[in-house]
Amino acid sequence: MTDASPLFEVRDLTKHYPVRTGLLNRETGQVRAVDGIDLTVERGEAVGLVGESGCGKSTAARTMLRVEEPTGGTIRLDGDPVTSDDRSRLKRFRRRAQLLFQDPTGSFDPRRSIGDSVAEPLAIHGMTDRARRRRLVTSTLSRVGLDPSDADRYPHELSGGEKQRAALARALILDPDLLVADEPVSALDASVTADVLALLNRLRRELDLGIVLVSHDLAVVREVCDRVAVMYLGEIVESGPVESVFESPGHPYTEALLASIPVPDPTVERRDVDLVGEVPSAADPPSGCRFHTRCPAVIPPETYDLDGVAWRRVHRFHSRLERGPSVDLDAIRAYAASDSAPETAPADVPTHAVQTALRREFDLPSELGDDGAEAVLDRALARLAAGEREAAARLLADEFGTVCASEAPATHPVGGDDRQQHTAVCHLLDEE
Amino acid sequence: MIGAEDSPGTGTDDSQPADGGEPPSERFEDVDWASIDADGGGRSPLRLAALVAAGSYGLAVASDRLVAGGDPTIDVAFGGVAFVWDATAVDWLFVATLSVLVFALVPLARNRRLVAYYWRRFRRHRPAVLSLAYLLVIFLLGTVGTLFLDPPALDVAAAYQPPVFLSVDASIPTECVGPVVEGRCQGTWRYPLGTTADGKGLLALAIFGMRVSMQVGLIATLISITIATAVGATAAYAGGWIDEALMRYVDIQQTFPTFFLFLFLAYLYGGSLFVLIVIFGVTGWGGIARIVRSEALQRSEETYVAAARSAGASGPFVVWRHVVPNVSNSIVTAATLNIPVLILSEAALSFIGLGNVTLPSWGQTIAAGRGDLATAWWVSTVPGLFLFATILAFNFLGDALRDALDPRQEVGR
Repeated sequence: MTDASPLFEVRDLTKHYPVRTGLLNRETGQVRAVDGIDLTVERGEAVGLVGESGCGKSTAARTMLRVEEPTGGTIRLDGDPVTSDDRSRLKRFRRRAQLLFQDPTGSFDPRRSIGDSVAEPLAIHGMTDRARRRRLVTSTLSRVGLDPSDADRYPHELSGGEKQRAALARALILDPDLLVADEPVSALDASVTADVLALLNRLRRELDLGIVLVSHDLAVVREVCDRVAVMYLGEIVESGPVESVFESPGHPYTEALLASIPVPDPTVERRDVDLVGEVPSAADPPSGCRFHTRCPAVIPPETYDLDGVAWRRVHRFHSRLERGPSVDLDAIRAYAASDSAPETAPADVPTHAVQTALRREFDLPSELGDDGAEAVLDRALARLAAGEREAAARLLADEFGTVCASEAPATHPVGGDDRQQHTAVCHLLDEE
Repeated sequence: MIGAEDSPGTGTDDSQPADGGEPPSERFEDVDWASIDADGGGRSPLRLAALVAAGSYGLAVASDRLVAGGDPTIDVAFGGVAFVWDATAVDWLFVATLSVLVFALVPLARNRRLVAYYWRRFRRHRPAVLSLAYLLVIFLLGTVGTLFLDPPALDVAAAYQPPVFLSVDASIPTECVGPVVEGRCQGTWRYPLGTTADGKGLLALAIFGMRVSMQVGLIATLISITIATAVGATAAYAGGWIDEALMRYVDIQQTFPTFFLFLFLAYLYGGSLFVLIVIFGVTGWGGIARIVRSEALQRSEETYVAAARSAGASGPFVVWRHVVPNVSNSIVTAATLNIPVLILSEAALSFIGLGNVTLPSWGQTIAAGRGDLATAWWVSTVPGLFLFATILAFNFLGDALRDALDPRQEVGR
C-alpha cells in the first residue's frame, strides 16, 4: 500500500435502528444492523462483502453511500470525509459513488422509458441539454451491451439481464470512481449472471473503477473480487485477499460459508461443517463473539473433558435457554406421558422421564462422557423440568461458560507474515 | 475469471445516428462536470413555456381587473362580427384550469407509446368510449361554443314552445311559433328543445349550462387534486410528524360541513358561482389526499426511488418525477369520479335556490320548470337529461380509467 489515501475508506461504520413499542412510541431498544465495520477500497479494486441474509450487508452498502444516514463512523472518498452537512459536497459524492441495486425490475420507474431513467442522473446533476443527455445514454447503453434503440423501450419490455445492464449504465453514466453493487446478480439466472459479472469486470478495468460487491454468494465474490470481507450480525469477522481467505479461512463462520458452496464434483471430499439455526436477532446480539451460539468450533471450558460433539450440543442447549423461544414444558410432559405407561397423566410423569424427553427435545446425548459435566447437566435439566428456566441457564453459564460467550474476540492476523492483510476476529486465534 | 469479453455490442457503436448534429460517440468520461457545476444549469424549454404562460396569465388577470375594470376584457370586431367577452372571476379560473390541463398533456405527448398502450386498454370499454365522446362534445360546446353563441334571451311571446317533432295543446304557449295543427302547437327548429316560461330556448340554456357544469366540475376538481396531491405526496414522502399533522387536519376537514360554510358565505357575499367553486375546491380534497397518500407510501418504498435518491436527487425532485407520476392513475380516477359529484352538488344547490339565480345552470333551469311539469314537461326534463347523461358518462369514464390505468393489471406484460 502506498501512503496516499485510498479511494474509499469506511471506518467504524454503524447503523442502529430504533425499536419503538407501545402507545407513546418510546424507544425500547436498537437493532444493530451494522455495528462498526471498516472497509477500504483502492482504485480499480473490487472488494466483496459476504454474509448470510440478515447479517446487515445491504444496510452496510446503503449506509456507506449515505443513502441511509449512518449512526456513526466516518466515510472518506479520496481522503475527504463525506458528511451530510455540506449539501454541494454530498452531491459531488453522489456523482462519484454509485449504487447498483439487487432488483433490476424494481429499480426502474415503470412509467419512464429506459433512456429516460438512464439519463436521470445527468439531469439531477444539472445537465439540461436534452440532446447531449441522449447522446451519452446512447453511447453508455452500447457500452453495457445493450442496443441504443433500447432507450425508447419501457422496463416491462426488457428481460431481467437487460434491465440489470441498463441499471449498470445508469450507475456508470456519471463516470463514478466507486460502484457499490448490492447483490447485483442474485435476481438473475446463471448464464445471465456470468455475462453481467464479466461486464462488471471489464468495466472495472476500463474505468479503473473501485467496486464493493455485496453478495451472499461466495462464488460470485471469487469471480470478481480481489479482497473479501465476511460479515456476521453487523460485524466483519474476517477480511483479506480472496485467495487467502478462500484457501485458509481463519474464522469458523467463513469456513462454514465456504463449505456451503456447492462443488460440482461428487468425488471431492468436503468438510462437513454444520451451521445450524438462524442468524440471531440484531436487536439483541449474543454476548462475546456474536457467532458463538452457532459456532461449530466454539471453545470448550477447561474444567470438563468433553468431546466436541457433546460439548457443542450442551452449548447450543445453553444458548437456546438463554435466547431461544420459551420451552413448552406442558407439551414435553404430555410427550413424556404418552411415551410411558398409558394411564399416566401428564402431571404425574416422573422427573427423570421429563428429563429424558427434554434431552430428546434439545438433541442432547444421553451420556456426556464426563461425570462432573453429566451431573451439572442433570441438575440443569431438573431445574428446567421444575420450570426454573433462568436458574438452569445460570447454572450452565457458571459451569460451562466459554471465553467465546464472555469476551469479545480480538482481531488476529491469519497465515504467515506475508499475509498481514488477512485478519480474522476469533478466540481460536488467541493462543498464537 | 471466465468469459471476460463475451458481451455483444461492446465498445462504442458509432453507426447509430443521433438526433443532434454531433456524432453519438460522446462518452460519459468526456463530460466536464466542473463546467456543468459552474454553469448552474439553464431551464428546460417546457419549464420556460410554463413560466411564460403563468406570467402572461398574471398580466392578463391584472389588466382585466385593474385597467379594463368594468369594460369587456376582449372587444374586437372583424368584418362586422363583434367578439365581446367580459371575463368573470370564474372565467379566469377556468382559463387557468384549461392551461394547466394543456401542460398536463405534455408528458402524454412525450410518452406516446405508453399512452397508446393505455388507450388500447381503455378502448375495450365501449360505454366509456361513448362517454368520452359525449363529454368532449359537452366540453367543447360549453367552452368554445358559448363564446360565439348569444346567451338565451327573454322572449315572453315565445314561452312554452314544445321541442321539435313534438306538440302541445295550443293553449299552453303564449303564442305558437310553429304551425298549429288540429289545436296543437307544433315544435319548430327555431327552438329545437322547446322554451321555458320566459321564452328562453332550452338548447341555448342547456349549452350555457354545460359551461357552468364544466366550470364547476373542472375548476373545483383541479383545485382539489392539486391540494390533495401536494398534501398526500408530502405526507407520504416526508412521514413523521408532517404526515401526522397533515392527515389529522384532513380528518378534521372531512368532518366539517361544507354545506353550512356555503350557506354562511352565501349569506355574507351572495351565492356566486365563484364562491361555490372555491369552497368545493378547497374543502373537497380530503378523500383524494388519503388515496394519494396511501398510494404514494407504497411508491416511496420502490427501488427506483432509492435509485434516484442515491444518484443525488432531492426530495421534491423524487416526488415530482417518480411518486406523483406513479400515483397519477389513482389521481385521474379519483378526479374523474369527483367531477360528477360536484356537478350534481352545484345542480342541487341551484335547484334549492342557493346558487346565483341569474346563471343558466342546469339545476336552475330544472328548478324553474318544476311548477310546469304538468303542462310543459320539457323545461325540467331537457336539462335533467343532460345532467343525468353527464353524470353517467363521467362515472363510466372513471370506472374505465380505473381499470385501464390499474398498475396491478400490468403484471406480466
